[in-house]
Amino acid sequence: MGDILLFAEQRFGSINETTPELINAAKKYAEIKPGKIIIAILGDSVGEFAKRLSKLPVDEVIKVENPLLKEYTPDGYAKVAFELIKARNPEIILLAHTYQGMDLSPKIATKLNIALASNCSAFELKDGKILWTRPVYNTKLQQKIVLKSTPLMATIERGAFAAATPTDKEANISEHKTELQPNDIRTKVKEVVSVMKGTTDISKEKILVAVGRGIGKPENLPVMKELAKVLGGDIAASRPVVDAGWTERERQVGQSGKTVTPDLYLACGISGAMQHVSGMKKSKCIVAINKDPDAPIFGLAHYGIVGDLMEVVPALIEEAKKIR
Amino acid sequence: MKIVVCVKEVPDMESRFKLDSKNHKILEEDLVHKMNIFDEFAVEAALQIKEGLNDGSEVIIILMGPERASQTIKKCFAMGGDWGIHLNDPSFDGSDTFVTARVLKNVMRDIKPELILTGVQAEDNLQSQVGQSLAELLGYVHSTNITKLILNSDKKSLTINRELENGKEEVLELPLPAILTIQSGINNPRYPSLPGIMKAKTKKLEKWGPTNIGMKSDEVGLVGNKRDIVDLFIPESAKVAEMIKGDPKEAAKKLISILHDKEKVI
Repeated sequence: MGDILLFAEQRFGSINETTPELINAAKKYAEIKPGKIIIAILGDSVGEFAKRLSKLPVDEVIKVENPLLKEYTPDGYAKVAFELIKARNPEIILLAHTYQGMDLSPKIATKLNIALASNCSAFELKDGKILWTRPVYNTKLQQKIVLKSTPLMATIERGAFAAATPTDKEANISEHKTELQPNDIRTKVKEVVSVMKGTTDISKEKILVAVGRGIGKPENLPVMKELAKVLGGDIAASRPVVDAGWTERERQVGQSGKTVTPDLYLACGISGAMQHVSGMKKSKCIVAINKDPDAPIFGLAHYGIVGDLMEVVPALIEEAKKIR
Repeated sequence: MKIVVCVKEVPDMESRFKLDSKNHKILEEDLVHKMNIFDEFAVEAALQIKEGLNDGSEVIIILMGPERASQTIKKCFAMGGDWGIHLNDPSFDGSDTFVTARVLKNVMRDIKPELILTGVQAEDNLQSQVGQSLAELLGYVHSTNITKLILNSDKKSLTINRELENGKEEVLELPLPAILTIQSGINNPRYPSLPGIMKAKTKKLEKWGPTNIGMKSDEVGLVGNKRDIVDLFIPESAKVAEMIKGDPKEAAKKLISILHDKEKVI
């Protein structure tokens, strides 16, 4: 019976929303392989966060406070993580697959000389082994993998587990003193900037016509905009469309862009990569139009049309005009 | 300065994948393969640094994959890469990230690059591990999801933007040697020019197996791996949408009526 060691994530004055999800993943793990749930939180002053975490369903909170942990750096955070893992010898280590978790986890795994299962959406026990489910092939397929090294280590997909809620018990908070030194850290964090420059706020729209790589070329944008206009909404976009410079960054939906919850999200030529889906999956009604019948977006949409956008969208404009 | 770009060849993600469920693999017949999209941005970023320096710096392309993947190295050469190593040996087949990072570490031993770039992830395995892991093995500093990259005037450090959630980026300064994983959209990868394609044919491309890097064949590929794939499948949820059939006109008419009369969202 080994411990389950989690790493919480905090930045910009709050605990990341994935941390309570990570605790729920650990709870589910403890149901199949009983163990103590220990969550570590790193930073320069994290007493308040540690207290908040102690009210969630965990057995112990470890706080690690040091001015050198004020900003996230892979050098600083991986060194402390390694110290904690060596001190606690857990059976399994879990982090969220966020920008930070993705940056940090492989470094920790490599220090430990172990394999890492990244971005897992589920796990199960089979023949005494844990099978990790994760997306592959641009999320069109999924694989199940078994790790052949110990301790086990995985990162958990954002949103794959519901957030844990506070209990009436309070877990013990312990403290770890790190040996971290200034010259351990090679990265200098200069500043944090916002790349959303314009004034467009697509998160306020009730209807969004979202365009993806499948629109083919920027010349096809005007007809998409016309559909948005006829329906009384606005244009949103997936990352490749923004990367190609076809539309503005502030229209980007997904992990690195906006999170939106309109009444109608009409996904045109969007395959449905997880980075995009995390920003729109709570929309009330999702419609997908895509020429690829296997596009993962059809796994999420309420309605789907398989077809050529440049035939379907003009037809939609005609029909929408009739009801306006 | 030596800049290495680690690239991968992957199936075109627009393909309809057919499964060999017994071996937990996709069937490769009829599949078109191409360069991992994120690696295209990494190659372009490397070329831009080299051109900015204009001091005889080299861009070295390293790829692990079967014979067919040499077309991807040739594409990198046609874009402007100087020479390359093709890790091409049956014993490498199916290597996981654990093995791949260790193979690359041994490849770097003789090259000693100041900068290593790669895509933020591979479109097929979506793991985002090899860059960070390789950095730890080599003792290099790393950063991921890079959306802006400047070589500072001292030529010994970088100023970079790293993407964060919700439209934020952090500006970081890192010393060389370093490994960066490049995010899409950082630049506009160039198309190979015709003279570039002609020149690519004359560039040095070495074919290496495990012995070239001092590894045994049981340390790489499936036998060296630290994870086993036990299943590969199309997710059950893939077909939850109510599919609206008919020609575009009929489908459009049905959809608008559903959205208006039933869902009442328009």
